[in-house]
Amino acid sequence: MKKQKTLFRQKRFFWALFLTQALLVATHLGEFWPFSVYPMFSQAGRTWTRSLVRDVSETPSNQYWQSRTLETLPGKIFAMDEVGINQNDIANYIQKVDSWDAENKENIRVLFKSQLVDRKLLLYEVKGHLNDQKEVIQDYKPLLLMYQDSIILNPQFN
Amino acid sequence: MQRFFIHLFDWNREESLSELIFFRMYEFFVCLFSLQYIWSWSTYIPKLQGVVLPLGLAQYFDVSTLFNDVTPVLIAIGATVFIALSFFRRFSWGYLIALILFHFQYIARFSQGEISHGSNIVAMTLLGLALAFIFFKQEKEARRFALGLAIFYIGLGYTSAAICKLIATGPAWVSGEHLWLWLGERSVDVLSQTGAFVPNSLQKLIFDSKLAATLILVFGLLAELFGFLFWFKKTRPFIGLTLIGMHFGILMSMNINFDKYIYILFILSFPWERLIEFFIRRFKANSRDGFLSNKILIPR
Repeated sequence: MKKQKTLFRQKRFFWALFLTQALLVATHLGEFWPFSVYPMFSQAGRTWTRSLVRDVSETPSNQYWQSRTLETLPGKIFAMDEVGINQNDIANYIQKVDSWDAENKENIRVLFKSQLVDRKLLLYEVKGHLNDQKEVIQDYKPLLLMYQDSIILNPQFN
Repeated sequence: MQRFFIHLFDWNREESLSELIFFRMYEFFVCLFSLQYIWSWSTYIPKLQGVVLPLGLAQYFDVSTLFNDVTPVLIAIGATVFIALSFFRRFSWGYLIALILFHFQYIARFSQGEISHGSNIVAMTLLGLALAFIFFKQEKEARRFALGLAIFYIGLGYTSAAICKLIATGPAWVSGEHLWLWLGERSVDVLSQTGAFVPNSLQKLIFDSKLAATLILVFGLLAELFGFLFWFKKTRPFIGLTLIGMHFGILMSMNINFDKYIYILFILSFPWERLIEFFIRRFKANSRDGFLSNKILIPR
């Protein structure tokens, strides 16, 4: 009898949790951590957007704003490990930000502030896609130029 | 359905000392992994600035109020205290309060646009412990519920992930060029994070051979699809090992380390209580009243 009661209780709590989970994800756009309806890599073949930072302290200013491939990028690579920031955060920030107003630009600059003394860093938006020949194409578009006390949005950015 | 629940929670069987010790070890690792996340995020959150993705409870208050040096550390201290209280059976709601504090750390840490999956399994296992020790006063019942819930969600999580892939992309999901595209994405990520990306031999093989890339994706999809086999005791070690292999494959091919998934699968996939039973027998030969009778470490 006691075992039957235990089983009943276990089932009841189990279904209650399931219902709670369904309610939470349904009312919070599919994500109420730790509940989530977003598995990784479910949509294959989609264009992706990432980020990359270059140190352009030695680069002439007329070379900042051209879109490029990885091989032709100006300056030298800047590893985000230097500022202890996870690159996922920068990549997702630049994808999801509504507009590049002064506050959003400043939020990015502050993350790199400790490494901007006497340095200029250029943040690239990197887009990848498969072309008709099923080759991976990467396009590096300059987004934000960071100085110690200011930040400039690419004038051609849209 | 009745048989499924009996199978999952295994409530009808007597509990041996070795199972009890195994559970305490499982519980210890769940607490440890939770605290690892909570404390590591407490030092990262102060670096953040704006909020672009308000997740969970962040939809109801300005989560940027947590972006300072003090609050995340206070949350981490609180979570540690409540986890310790529950672990030593001093406060049954401790795990649930710690989970809510864990949620606050998560919504602050991942307010930058990324939805992270690495910590979900740890939080689900902590949730299992939280509900078990609130709703079941008997230790044995609580233990069975906590383990059953974790096992259920692991099986469900993997199988539903495979079904989502088939719905979102279809059977063509396994086509090798998709792995090339993801690998291209990850190469930028690694370059961006560390300053260098040097492909390993598996990554070179993937880039050189579409067949190899396709076969790797076929293996990954099938491993996930059969994740529900984790619910059943007889098939659990095999599917557990397959999923661990899949995670090592993801690590080698995509440089994404789901280490906590690997650890928890490793803990839950195999009948460790049999190994513990072996050591107990050897230990008993030397000592009748050792640490095994400690009521705090092994509550009954």
